[in-house]
Amino acid sequence: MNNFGVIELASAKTTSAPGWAYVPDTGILPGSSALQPANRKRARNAPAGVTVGDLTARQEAKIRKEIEALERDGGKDISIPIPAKSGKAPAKHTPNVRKILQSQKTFSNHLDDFLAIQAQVEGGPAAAGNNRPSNASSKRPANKRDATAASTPTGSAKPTPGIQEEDVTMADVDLPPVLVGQYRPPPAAHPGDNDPLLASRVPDLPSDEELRKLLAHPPLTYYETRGKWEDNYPTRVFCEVCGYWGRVRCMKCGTRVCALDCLETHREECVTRYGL
Amino acid sequence: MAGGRKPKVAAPARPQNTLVLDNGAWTLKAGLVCGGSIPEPRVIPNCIARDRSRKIYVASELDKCRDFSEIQFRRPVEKGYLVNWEAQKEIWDQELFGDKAQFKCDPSETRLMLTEQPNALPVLQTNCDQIVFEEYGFSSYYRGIGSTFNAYHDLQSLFRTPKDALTAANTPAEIMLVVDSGFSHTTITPLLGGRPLHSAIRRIDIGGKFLTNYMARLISLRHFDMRNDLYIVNEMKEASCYVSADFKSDLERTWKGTRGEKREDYVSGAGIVKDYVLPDFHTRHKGILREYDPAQHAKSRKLAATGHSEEDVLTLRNERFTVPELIFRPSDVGMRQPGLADAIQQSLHELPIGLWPGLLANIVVVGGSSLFDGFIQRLQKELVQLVPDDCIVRVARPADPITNTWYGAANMANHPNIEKVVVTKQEYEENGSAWIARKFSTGLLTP
Repeated sequence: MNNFGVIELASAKTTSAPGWAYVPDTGILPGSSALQPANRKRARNAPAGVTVGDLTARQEAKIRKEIEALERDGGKDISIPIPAKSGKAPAKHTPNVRKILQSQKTFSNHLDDFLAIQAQVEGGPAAAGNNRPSNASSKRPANKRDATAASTPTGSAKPTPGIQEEDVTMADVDLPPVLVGQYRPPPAAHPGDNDPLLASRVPDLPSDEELRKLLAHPPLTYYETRGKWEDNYPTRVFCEVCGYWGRVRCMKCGTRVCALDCLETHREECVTRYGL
Repeated sequence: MAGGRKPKVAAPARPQNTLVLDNGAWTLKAGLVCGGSIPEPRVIPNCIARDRSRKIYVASELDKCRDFSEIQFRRPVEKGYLVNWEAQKEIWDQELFGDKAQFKCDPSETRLMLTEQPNALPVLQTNCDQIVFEEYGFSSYYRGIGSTFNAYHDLQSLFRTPKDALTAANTPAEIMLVVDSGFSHTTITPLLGGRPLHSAIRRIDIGGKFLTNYMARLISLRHFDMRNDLYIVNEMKEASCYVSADFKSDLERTWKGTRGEKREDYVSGAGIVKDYVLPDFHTRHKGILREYDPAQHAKSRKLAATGHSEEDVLTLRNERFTVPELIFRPSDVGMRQPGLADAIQQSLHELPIGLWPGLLANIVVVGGSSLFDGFIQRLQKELVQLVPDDCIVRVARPADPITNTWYGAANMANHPNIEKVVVTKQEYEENGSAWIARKFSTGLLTP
């Protein structure tokens, strides 16, 4: 019998509980087919290589919650007070210092403040939307980068390349070459040097000017430096019970397990609850 | 490294003492560099802890703690950045300036060199500058990105590059790529002459904390609940985890098989499975890692049935390598971030291709999470597969990746470069904190 993943508790009276309702089944929706298999074959024929992209909303929420838990420090929210000093008069602080010491802001508070200020500076809510942290690591506002890149050369004095070419010392004069040349003379010429099979192709070093521009690049913001997620390869999925490849999916909740043993272990605690 | 550590005669730093402070989230590394000689840094836990009996330990007092079960921590450094100054000041006051401090320094006659993680929030940097000058009153101060200090080492001896005897180690290193895998996250910083290439700095939000939490979750699912014993889990992680060279086959060998199947590798342990004897804090204060012994297990099961079991043993199977695997594949837990090798490639793609050979041949890995066995071999292997064939990929890990940044900063304290970047208290009072923030962010570039 298929009960659409809903567990019915035996009761005499009917209550209007949240959690399930009769809905018209209008064809195979990509997300719901795994959740609500009309028959076993349809569940079996669901697309094989499941990537993060086509998880159900419930699974995504679960993953997000788990990652948040993993990123936290310590099991739960704790507050450990500073041990009180006895017999010491409270030291005097300047107003700035007092403000900083008393601040109970966490990193995420500061980060939200920063994003808000940044959005204001860039003018308009559109930019703010782009910088939202949630899932937009790749969405970097393109216009902003151009602006910063364009503004940098004016800030740094341009060296005149050519003069510095011969300067091989590591002396700390104002504008030395960014990269110093070779330390030792190249090895003696060999008749085989011109053999096309032995030739190695080394890309040219960028010019001093180019390097200087790179070095003068202003620091990126917190979210801009985060590695960008690229969907090149299918995501690996693992058995939630033992950690082997997740080759089988629980028909009820879509959790991955490896084989029958683990599936049974999982079934014992597989509850598809409303809002889980 | 030894060559780089030699005192430079040419640089008489104006304040004779420099307090070098690598303020990490897990430990802070501190030492006083006096006129050229570099001592061993002290490595101090950067936390305030409370144990089960609600006794509170500040920083190095943690050594006195006997029972680490259900211990809780409060850390002033969050996600790599110094956030909570109330706690940090308490720890600094006790460890650096208190009565029990091993080295005494008077801030008004001392220069402070402080490390920070790249891409910090400006408001946190300003807070830091204000505290340093207004609360402690250091005579001069430099705050720099931690990774950049790694350039002040003899890089080529780390890679064992054959070289002429005459060429002295030149610091800062011309070109290198620093991977810093710490407690909070893993950052990738390409350096050119000790200066960071800001446009190519990348970060993955996976560090030791994330791995410990993940391991605690796995053990709680498979054995018993250890989510409140992260300290013990962390020790277990440090003792047992390794980065797998061949993930697929390791996973295959630790699988128990389908129902009723007795796989030989599973029964014998296949050389991967280990037992971890948990500390009970009465007779045993440290956990012990030992070889998996099936016979022993049968015996102890009998003992447990009669209620005479003397030790709690955890059998670690694929937990040993699936945990550090997250650094290379964050998507294994559904995190939408690239692995370390991919992130390095993304960083390289921001730079002109002419710099690639230099950066790839000089990759240095620092930070506590790089201590896993097989870390650098795996990184090298993955990078070779990603980058052009012509590029030589060399990955090295210094002898002690945890204090390497500190030693680099100490070397810089004796290097003439420091005089160009340092800010004095007087300058701070004249120009204000915004000016300082600008000066530090331009770093060595200012003429």
